[in-house]
Amino acid sequence: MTKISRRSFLKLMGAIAPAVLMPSAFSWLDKNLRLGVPSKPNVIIFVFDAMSARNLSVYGYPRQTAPNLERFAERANVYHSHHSGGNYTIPGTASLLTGTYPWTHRAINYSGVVKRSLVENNIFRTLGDDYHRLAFPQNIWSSFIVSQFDADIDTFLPSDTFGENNSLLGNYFPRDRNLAIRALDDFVFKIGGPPVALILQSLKNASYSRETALLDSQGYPRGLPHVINYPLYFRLENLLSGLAALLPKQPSPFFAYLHLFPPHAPYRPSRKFNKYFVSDGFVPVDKPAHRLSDHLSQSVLDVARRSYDQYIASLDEEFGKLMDKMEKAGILENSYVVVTSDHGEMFERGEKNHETPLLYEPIIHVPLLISSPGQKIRHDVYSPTNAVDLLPTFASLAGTPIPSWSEGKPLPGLGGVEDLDRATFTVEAKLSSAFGPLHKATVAMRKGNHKLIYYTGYEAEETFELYDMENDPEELDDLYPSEPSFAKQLRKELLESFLAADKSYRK
Amino acid sequence: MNIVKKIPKLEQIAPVYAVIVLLVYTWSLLLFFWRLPSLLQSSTVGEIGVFFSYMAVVDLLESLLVLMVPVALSIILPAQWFYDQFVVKGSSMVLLCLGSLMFYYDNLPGEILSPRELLLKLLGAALAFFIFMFLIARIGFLERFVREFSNRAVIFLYFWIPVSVISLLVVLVRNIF
Repeated sequence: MTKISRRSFLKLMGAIAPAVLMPSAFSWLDKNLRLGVPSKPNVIIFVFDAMSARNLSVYGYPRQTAPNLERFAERANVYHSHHSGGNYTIPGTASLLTGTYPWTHRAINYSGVVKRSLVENNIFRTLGDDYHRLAFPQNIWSSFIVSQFDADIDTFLPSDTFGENNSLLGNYFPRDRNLAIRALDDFVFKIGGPPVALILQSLKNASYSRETALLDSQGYPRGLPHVINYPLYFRLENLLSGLAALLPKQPSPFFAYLHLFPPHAPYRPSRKFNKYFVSDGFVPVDKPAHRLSDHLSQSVLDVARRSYDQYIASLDEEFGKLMDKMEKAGILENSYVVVTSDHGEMFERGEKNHETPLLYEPIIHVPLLISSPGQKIRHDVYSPTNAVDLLPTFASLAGTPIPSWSEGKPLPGLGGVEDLDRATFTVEAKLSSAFGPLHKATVAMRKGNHKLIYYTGYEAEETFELYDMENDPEELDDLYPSEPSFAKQLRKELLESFLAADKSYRK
Repeated sequence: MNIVKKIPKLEQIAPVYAVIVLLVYTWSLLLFFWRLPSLLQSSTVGEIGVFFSYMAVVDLLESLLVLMVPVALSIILPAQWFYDQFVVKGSSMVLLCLGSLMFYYDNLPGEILSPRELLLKLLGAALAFFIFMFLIARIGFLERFVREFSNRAVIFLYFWIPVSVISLLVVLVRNIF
């Protein structure tokens, strides 16, 4: 065997080192310095969980719940008829991040996830690694979806970041986060059910109980806000100021998906807002209880609604501070800032919250406000849009092709055009299997000024409701029986879309 | 008797560990089957397998943790108090402790015990254990029952230990590669 001299070895190493290091050095330079090419604007998506547009003053709600969002709206595109893809976190988040409806992505059940073959179809991958991609799913259920896209995310902030306590076990398994969270935090060590681990969970519960007893809830008369069903407490001011400190440190351009748990129940406003809207004379429109509702009394619903409104106002104040800090840091000048929600919340027709087959506006009409870099004036958009439109919009703005698999369209005012003939959908199917036909579901189709709701599997017969959203925004007058020919036309379109999406699951 | 000699032998530990495994894994399995229909709606068979693996690994850790208690008592206490009747006393102890927790959680599933409440529950189980020991010393049938029961429970070790080891490997592989 030929021996290599010391001199030859050093020469060889001298040649190998640049060969190995140069591509990565160019890649680093390309990514960080862009070699003179101006950087793309950042994209920051704030998702406030369970925030209904119907309870926001920026959308005309009589209570002043969101003065800071109103302020933000003065420099943003305000979408007045924006709907979520689903009616709770799992399908709503998945629609937003995949640009597809629940009947396609199939994250339809509690603890459900996006269909495995579609996991690569997500907004993080679509925007590409030109962006530093940051995800903060504070809602554990949103982390079920977001953690599926781990491979396309550069920084994943666990749900308890900015929290007052840290007790999620799935975070200790970053390589298998999705299943570890689902198995450990959502099952074996889940708070509020019979513990799977008898001794370890008893010990964990005892430590949780002690930890929460020691938590300082000063400033929150109803206790610290927390993520329901999980041992995760937080303070609104720390959550939002934590984000304000985090964002300026991100390498530019960045894409941040920030899914914040408030104003989801339990509604725990800060002291300042604890007595807001009490005896303010506001009387919600009286609506009869729906046959599929829980038949809760109006007084119960009114109290819950007021707490929800107080919590929104409390959150809005902190959001205002966050915006001020972002403006001061110059982020707003070079960023698209999106404010939206994964679904809404309902306090009418005998139903509370959002875990229901009902798809009335309070549950599916969510805010969408988008401030473009340097935008100074307000632009109102009234044509119907949907959560599935965010992915194609930002793909287009980022200069990447709009994926053919997305069921959305670029938003009007951001590369898209107003299209009143377009049908958009919201799908609820939590009791159907993700692997089979949607035998039990509700679908709401919005087309132009009309909305058709289709219920299947909940009662012996399929039923429909039709509303004119322009003349009857409170959905009080069901036109389905009185306008049979128009109803038939819309019904055909809805059923065709529904059956086409469900076709591969029907034998 | 020195400390090393008071460590129970494998043939003494196995029946006690078998009782622990029987209780811990059966309880988990019951809850797993309770959850299974919802898992089947949204998870693939492979994912359910991984889900089960995490559960089995936690059960393995928990069962070993519980086993430490009678082993530690055997070492700490005078031999005639515990070591000499390790199988009967160890098995009775874990039966009563785990059984009382199962009973408690079955009746109050959503309750979260504070450290004080947990201590009180364990003291209650300890009291029941002393009463049971008193009865065992006087009723021969009880002692025979516990001994035979724990000896027969050993059969479960032949199933659950391999399953747990495979589960541990699954969890390790998923988190290393």
